[in-house]
Amino acid sequence: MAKILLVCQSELPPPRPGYDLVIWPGQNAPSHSRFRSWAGWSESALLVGNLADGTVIGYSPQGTDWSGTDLAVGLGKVWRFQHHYIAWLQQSDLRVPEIARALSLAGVGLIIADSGQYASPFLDPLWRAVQANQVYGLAVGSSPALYLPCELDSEESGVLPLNPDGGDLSVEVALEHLNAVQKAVPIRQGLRPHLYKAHRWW
Amino acid sequence: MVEKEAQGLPWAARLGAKLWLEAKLRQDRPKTGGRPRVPRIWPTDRIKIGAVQWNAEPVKRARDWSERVAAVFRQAAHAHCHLLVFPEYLPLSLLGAIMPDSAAVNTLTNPTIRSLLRIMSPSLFRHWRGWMAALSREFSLVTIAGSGLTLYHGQLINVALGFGADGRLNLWQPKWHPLPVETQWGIVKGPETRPAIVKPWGLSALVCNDATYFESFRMVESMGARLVAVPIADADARYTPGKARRGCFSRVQDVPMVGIVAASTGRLFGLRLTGKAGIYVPSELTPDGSGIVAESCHAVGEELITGVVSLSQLTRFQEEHRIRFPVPAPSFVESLYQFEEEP
Repeated sequence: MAKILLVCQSELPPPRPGYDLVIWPGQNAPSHSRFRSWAGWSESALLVGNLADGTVIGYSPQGTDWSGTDLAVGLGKVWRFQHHYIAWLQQSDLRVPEIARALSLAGVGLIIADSGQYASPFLDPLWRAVQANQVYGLAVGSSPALYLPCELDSEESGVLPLNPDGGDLSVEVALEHLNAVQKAVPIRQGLRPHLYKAHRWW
Repeated sequence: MVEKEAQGLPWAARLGAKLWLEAKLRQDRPKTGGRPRVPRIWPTDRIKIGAVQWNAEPVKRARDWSERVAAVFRQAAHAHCHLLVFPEYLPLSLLGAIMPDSAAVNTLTNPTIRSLLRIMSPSLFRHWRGWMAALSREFSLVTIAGSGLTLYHGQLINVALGFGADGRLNLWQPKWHPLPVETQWGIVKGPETRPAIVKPWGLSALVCNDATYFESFRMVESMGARLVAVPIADADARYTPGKARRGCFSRVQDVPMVGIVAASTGRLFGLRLTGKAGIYVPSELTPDGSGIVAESCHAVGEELITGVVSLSQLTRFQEEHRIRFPVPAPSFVESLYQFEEEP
């Protein structure tokens, strides 16, 4: 179970204990030295994203650079986190379904992306990527929410609000539950690579 | 193979059931010949579509089934539809003609269901195909007749059929991604035949769970499809918008097309089917941004929904979408599918 804090304030708040990952989506280019010391002090991994240009920088709980893995596709980056992978994608990456498919097949269990303004969460491409690939999605930005496979949600909407924590939001993500969903509703096992290659669209 | 047969019905019982079903179906043969009732001018841009939400409960007589199907055709013709889409497993209700009034039919084991479907499906398929061809012609409607089971090289597959307004078969689309429960009933993955795209509209069909996979939509869209009919029969007693939006609705947002869902609902041999008929387009093409052109009100019961879509508007949108969100490089997609398929 990963405990995640989503910082919603314009300034990084004082470090809070007990979080495995802190996410701060902002509009300005991050200042490295400032965040590195914050991450080291809080003992949480920190991802700082610039929603304006899509850059994301990671810091380990020790305050060192948390480099992405070579799984990166599109404009996104991928990190190793608690025996899983997490990815931060831009909305434009999510409009190309092959990208989320590739990431989920490679073992990504949580996709973070800037949430756009949609009439319904079901129109958010992140929600679609979550359902199509049976992973978690964390919408950051103007409409924060946790997206999860409908089978993991008692309401079956696949959308959970985040919990207020001071001026910020927190959520617990059980990445280990994904295996059970993937076994119960075997979407990946149903993929037909020979068929797709026979009628390739690429 | 011998072991599988032993778990199902004995051959004499299967043969008896097949002959009995054929005798029942012979009492209600479709009319053949004759001219289409109404000469039609076929639009190339604005198409009026009808999608059927069907009560799939078993019928007592074959005639009950054909009269209900004909009533839907009549209703669609009166509504000036050009295209009519029926749901998955449309012919299965006909099995009610030989099933006893007993709760036992709701508790059949998978081996029994498998042996029943293998022996009955060819007869049901012929009957369904004959009626849908005749009614398409009579009402001069382009029709996606839903889907039914048939034997293909000795194996059971789920196939959607399409007919022109002249009653000729012009679309044969197997279900590529059967559900685990269908596999338990002996239904195998559909063959890798080239999907049929019917001109001039670019009409295609994908069956139920195929809409879980964006790959299905990519394949037909790359071959020129603009309309994709999706017959469904969701054996899910609890309908929720979240689960419903995961299929065709989501896929046409990913791969811009007009998605037409026709749904079987109600109780069918122990299954509780729910689902809504709907016509879905990319959200940018609806004035309210919902992506919903039309959708039935309730998730059970019978209803015909209709809606008008503009193919020229869709084509423009598809072109813009391809430029803004292009398919990744061939090397990327090729490497994505470098794994062995599960049997």
